[in-house]
Amino acid sequence: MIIDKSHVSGTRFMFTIAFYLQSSALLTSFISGITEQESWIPAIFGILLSLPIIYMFRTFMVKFPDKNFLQVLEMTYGRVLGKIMGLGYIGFFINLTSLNLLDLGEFTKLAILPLTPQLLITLLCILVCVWAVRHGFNVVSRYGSIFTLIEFAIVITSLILLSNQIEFSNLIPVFQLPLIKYVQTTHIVTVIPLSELVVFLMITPCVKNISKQQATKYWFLGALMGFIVLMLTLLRDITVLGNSLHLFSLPGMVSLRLVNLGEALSRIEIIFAVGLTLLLFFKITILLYVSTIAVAQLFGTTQYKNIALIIGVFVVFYAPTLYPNSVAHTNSARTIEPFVHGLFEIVLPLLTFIIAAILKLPKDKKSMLKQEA
Amino acid sequence: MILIVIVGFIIIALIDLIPLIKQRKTLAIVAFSVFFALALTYGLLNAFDVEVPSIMKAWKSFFEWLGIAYKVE
Repeated sequence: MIIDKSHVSGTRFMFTIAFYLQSSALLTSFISGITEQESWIPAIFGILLSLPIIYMFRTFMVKFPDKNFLQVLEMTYGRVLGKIMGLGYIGFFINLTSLNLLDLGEFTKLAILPLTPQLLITLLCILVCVWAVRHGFNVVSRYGSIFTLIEFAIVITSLILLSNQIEFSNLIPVFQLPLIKYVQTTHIVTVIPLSELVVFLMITPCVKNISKQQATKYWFLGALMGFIVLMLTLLRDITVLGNSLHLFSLPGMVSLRLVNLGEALSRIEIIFAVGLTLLLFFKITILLYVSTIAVAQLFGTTQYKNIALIIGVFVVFYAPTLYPNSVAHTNSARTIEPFVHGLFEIVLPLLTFIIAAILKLPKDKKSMLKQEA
Repeated sequence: MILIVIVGFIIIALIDLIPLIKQRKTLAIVAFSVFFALALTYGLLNAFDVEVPSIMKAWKSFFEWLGIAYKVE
């Protein structure tokens, strides 16, 4: 059953992955409070650890190009258990959407619209996201390439403007902290921004006319673009803020506040605010689309357009119940979320991968992506 | 606030539920109804300022019971 008949090219898929990863730039505050200015080391380890996980996601796409992940679960575990696991994944996707909507609401209220009720901010955002979702993945991903380039430009510009405040000595000393802190931070980086690419397994049926090699290229090039921005953002914040990095909930914003090249080039943190709002909005749209498709898949209906709005409204009212404030959210992200997310992003997909390989799925090899001629 | 929530949900039902009923898409109506009930419940609880327990607390208790959670310093 094909729920969304819209098609996108491999290039657009690649930029969607890149932009999705870039939108996790806000999440560097999760790790800066643990490993402080040494956060760049576990970030590198996290990126390296995520490579085989991304390869696994790519292999799902190669083996099951016309099936989303919930369909793969049903093929692998049978109808009943597959649907139960699908229900778990719907809860996971909706949870992810809610968490990111919460981040957007809190950030917008903190940085841009302090007097506006947060519920109104999130409701307006969701209404725009629902509008995009109702028009299919083609519309959802349409601006991914432009937004990716804009975000690159913002990061490079911020590096140039802050070049007079960068101190490379802030990157050292290294390995001064207990080992468990590096393990914890590596775990957080691997799971929370990077392995969230599992959501793209719900989107792979929309990508058409690509070969096996192209699938590998698009997954890894997209991830590479995201990694570069994440690392540049983290390195910028560490080299500029140094020891005080862990004191701020939004280190990127604080770094940009320090730009001061005369009266004309100051207070440019608004660029960060606008960029981050763009990023989070795009990520929430992708997640809402994935949640809607997952619900439609579970209930066996193709009318996903008519359930997008109610799911969006549910997310708006559900999100504030997750955490009372951003401190609780950050605390949870450092302690529990790596395990909760790891279950759905790594453990279950890996188990499914192994069982599918043992069962020699798919039975129909003709549906798999082909080698390039 | 409660009136706004109820009116909002009536509008959502008019936009999305009526077309589904006209097209007799039973499975979609079921999916819509499930999320409509959930959203309305959460919406009304929010309107009445009732504190809803967080599902993340349940996950936290579960993983702490399993003994796999990082400690906060």
